[in-house]
Amino acid sequence: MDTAAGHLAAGPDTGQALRLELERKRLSLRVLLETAQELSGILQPRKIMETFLLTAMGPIGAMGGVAVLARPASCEGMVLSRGLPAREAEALEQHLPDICDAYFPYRDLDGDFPSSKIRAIRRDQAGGDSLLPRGMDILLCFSVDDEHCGLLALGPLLAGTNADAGPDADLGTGLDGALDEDASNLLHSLLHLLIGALRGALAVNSIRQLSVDLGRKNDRLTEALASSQTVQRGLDRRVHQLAAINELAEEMAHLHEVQGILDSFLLTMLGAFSVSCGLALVLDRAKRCVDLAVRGAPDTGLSSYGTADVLVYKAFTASGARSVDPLTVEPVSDPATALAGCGLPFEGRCAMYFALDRDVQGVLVLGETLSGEALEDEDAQMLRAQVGTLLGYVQGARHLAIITALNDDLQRQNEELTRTVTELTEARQTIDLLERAGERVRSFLHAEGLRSRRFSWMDCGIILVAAMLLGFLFNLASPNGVPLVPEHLRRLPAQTVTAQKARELQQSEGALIVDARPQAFFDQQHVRGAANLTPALFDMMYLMRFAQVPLSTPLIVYGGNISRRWDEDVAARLAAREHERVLVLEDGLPAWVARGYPVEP
Amino acid sequence: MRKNIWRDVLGRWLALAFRLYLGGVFVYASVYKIGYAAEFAETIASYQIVPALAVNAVALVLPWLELICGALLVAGVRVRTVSAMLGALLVVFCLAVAVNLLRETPIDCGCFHTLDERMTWMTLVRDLTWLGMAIHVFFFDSPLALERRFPSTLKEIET
Repeated sequence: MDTAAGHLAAGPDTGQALRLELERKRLSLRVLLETAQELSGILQPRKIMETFLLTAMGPIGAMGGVAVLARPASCEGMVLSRGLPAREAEALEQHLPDICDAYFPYRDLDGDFPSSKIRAIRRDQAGGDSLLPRGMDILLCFSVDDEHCGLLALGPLLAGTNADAGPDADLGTGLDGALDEDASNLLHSLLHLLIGALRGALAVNSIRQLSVDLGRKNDRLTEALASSQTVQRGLDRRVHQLAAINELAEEMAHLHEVQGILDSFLLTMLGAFSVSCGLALVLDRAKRCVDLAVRGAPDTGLSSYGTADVLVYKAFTASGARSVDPLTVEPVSDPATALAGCGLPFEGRCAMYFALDRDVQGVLVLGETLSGEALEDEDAQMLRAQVGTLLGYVQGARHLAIITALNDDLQRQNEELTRTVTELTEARQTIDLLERAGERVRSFLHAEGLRSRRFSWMDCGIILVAAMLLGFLFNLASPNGVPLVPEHLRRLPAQTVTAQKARELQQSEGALIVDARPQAFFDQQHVRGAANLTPALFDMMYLMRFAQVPLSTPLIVYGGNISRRWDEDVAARLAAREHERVLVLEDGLPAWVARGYPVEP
Repeated sequence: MRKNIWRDVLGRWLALAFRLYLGGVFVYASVYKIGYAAEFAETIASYQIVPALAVNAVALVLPWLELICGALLVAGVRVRTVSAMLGALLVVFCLAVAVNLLRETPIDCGCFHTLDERMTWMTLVRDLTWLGMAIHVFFFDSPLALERRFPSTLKEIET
C-alpha cells in the first residue's frame, strides 16, 4: 500500500500504472481467495494437489504442470501432472524414486527439513534435469511437514503471460527467473496455501488413520476380552472340577468300603462335570460280587452279577483295551451304541472301562450333561485321570480289607496263642506245685524213714501227751472214774495225837486203836489190840466190829503213807458215824514202834 | 552164709518175736487197768513210792501209755522209741519191785490184775527179762514193721 501511495503521488501515468498495479493485485488476491476456497474442505492430498494444479496453472500462465508429494524417507508419494502427454505422465510416476533422489536431498538428514521453506530451483541446478519434461522451468521444492516434501514444476509459460510479465521482469529479483515478481509472489502465496491445505489434509488423514487404528485395536481388544472370558469360564470350570476332586480325594481317604468309594466318586464326578445321571460299577469275578452306584436314574437290576458281567464285557470290547492289564483305564467309544441293551437306566454319553486286575473290572457311565453339550476332550481326559485315581482308591480299599482280614486272623491266632500260653503257664504252675508237693512227700517219707530207725524225744513226748489225754478223757467218760485230787485234801484234817498220848488214852480210857491199812499190812504187823478197818471194806467191817462200840470211846486211827492217807479217810468216816473222839496217830505205826509200844505179831 | 543166717535169726527174727511178745504183754496188761482205774490206783498206792497227789494221775496215764506203746510195738511203728520207753518203764517197775521187796512190803505185783500172786524176787527176774527183750528190740532191726514200708514207697516214687 505504501508503494501504491507512492505511485499515486507520481502523476497520471503513475495513476494508470497504479490502477494497473491495483488491478493486478486484486486479481492476485482473487486468485488466492478462489484457490483458498477451492482448497478448503478438501481432505484428500491427491485431490488438493489436483485442484491446486488446476488453479495455479491458470494465473501463472503455465501450459503444463507437475506436482509431486512424496515421503523421501520411503521414496513413496504421488505424482500429478497436467497438460502432459499420457506417456510422459506415466513415465513420471515410474520415476518417482529418482525424482525423490534428485530433488529431495535432505531426506538423509533426519528431521532437518527446512520447515515450510520454499526453494526455487533452476533447471540447471537440479541433478535430475532429464526427469521432468522440457519447458518446465519453474521448479519449486517445499516441505509440508517432517516427513512429506513436495515439488511443483510449471511450464512452459504462455507467451501472453510472458508478455505481461515482460515489463515486470526488471522490477526486482523474483524467486524464479521465468516469472515476474507478482507472479512469483502469487506462486509463493499459492504454495503456502497448498502447504497449509496439505498439512491440514495430512493431519486429518493421520488423525483419521489413527482413529481407524484405534477402532481396529478396540475391536481386537474386545475380541481378546471375549476370548479371555471364555478362557476364564474354562478355568473356572477346571477350578470347580479340581476343587470337587480335591474334596473327593479327602473324602475317599476316609472310606474303606468299595461301595462307599463308588457312591462318593460318582456324586463328585456328576457335580464336577455337570452331568445329570451316572453309574459306577465294580465287578469282582473272584468273589462273584458287584458294587454298584447309580445317581439320577433308577437301578434297573444291574447289581445282579450276570447283567453286570455283560455290561463290563461290552464296555471292554468297545474300549481300546486289547488285554486286561492291571490298572487299565480306557474310554469306551460311542457308549450309546456299544452299551445299548445292557439295562442301562439312561443313555450313556461318556463311558470309561477300567480294570484293577484280571478279576476286578468295572465301568463308569455318565449320562447327558446339564447343558446338553458333549464333554470336551479335556474333560474326558480329566475324567480318565480321575477314574485312574478311583482305581487307586478301590485297590487301597481292597488291600485294606485283605489287611484287616489278615489282622483279624492274626489277632485270633494271637488270642489262641495267649490262651495256650496261659494254659501252659497254669499247667506249669500245677506241675511245679505237684513237684513241690512230691518233693515234700518225698522228704517227709525220707525223714519218716530215718526217724523210724532212730530214737526221738519228740516221739516220746507225743506218746506221753497222747496217753495223758486219752487217760484223762477216758476217766471223765468212764463210770469207774477216779478223782484226780485225793479226797482227804478236801477235808479238814482230823485231830491228831502223838503215840505217847495214844498209849495213855488206850490204857486210861480204853481207847480203841484202828488200823486203816489193807489187810496184808495188818497181818504183817499191827498195834496190839488194834482192829483192822480199811476204807474199801469200811461198811461191812464197821458193822461187824464197831456197831457196839460206844460213841464216846476214843478211836485212834493210824495207817497213812506217802501215797495214801487211809487213816484220814477212815477217821472221816468214823466221825460221820458220830463217834465223838476220833484221833489220828501222828506218824502212824513207825512212831508207835519207835516208842517200843507193843505190836503184834 | 550160715553165719549170716544165724545172725538174722538171732538178730532180726528174734527181735520180731520179742517185739510181738512184749507188745502183746503190755497191751494185755493195760486193758484191765484202764477199766478199773480205782483198783490200780490202790495198787500204786500200796507201793508207797508215788506221792499222794500224783497217785490217781499215774493210775490214769500209765495204762494208756502201756497200751499205746504195746500197740506201736506190735505194729512196728517207731520201734526204737517205743522200745526205749518200754525199757524205761520196766526199769521203773524193776526199781519199784526191788524197793518193795527190800522193804518186805506185803503187796501183790499188780502187773496184770489187782489180785495177783504175791510179789516175789521172780517178779523182779521176770521184769528184768522183759527189760532185756526191750533192749534187744531197741538194738536190732526187725522185719514186718509198718514203717518199713516208707523206704520202699520212697524208692518207688524216686524211680
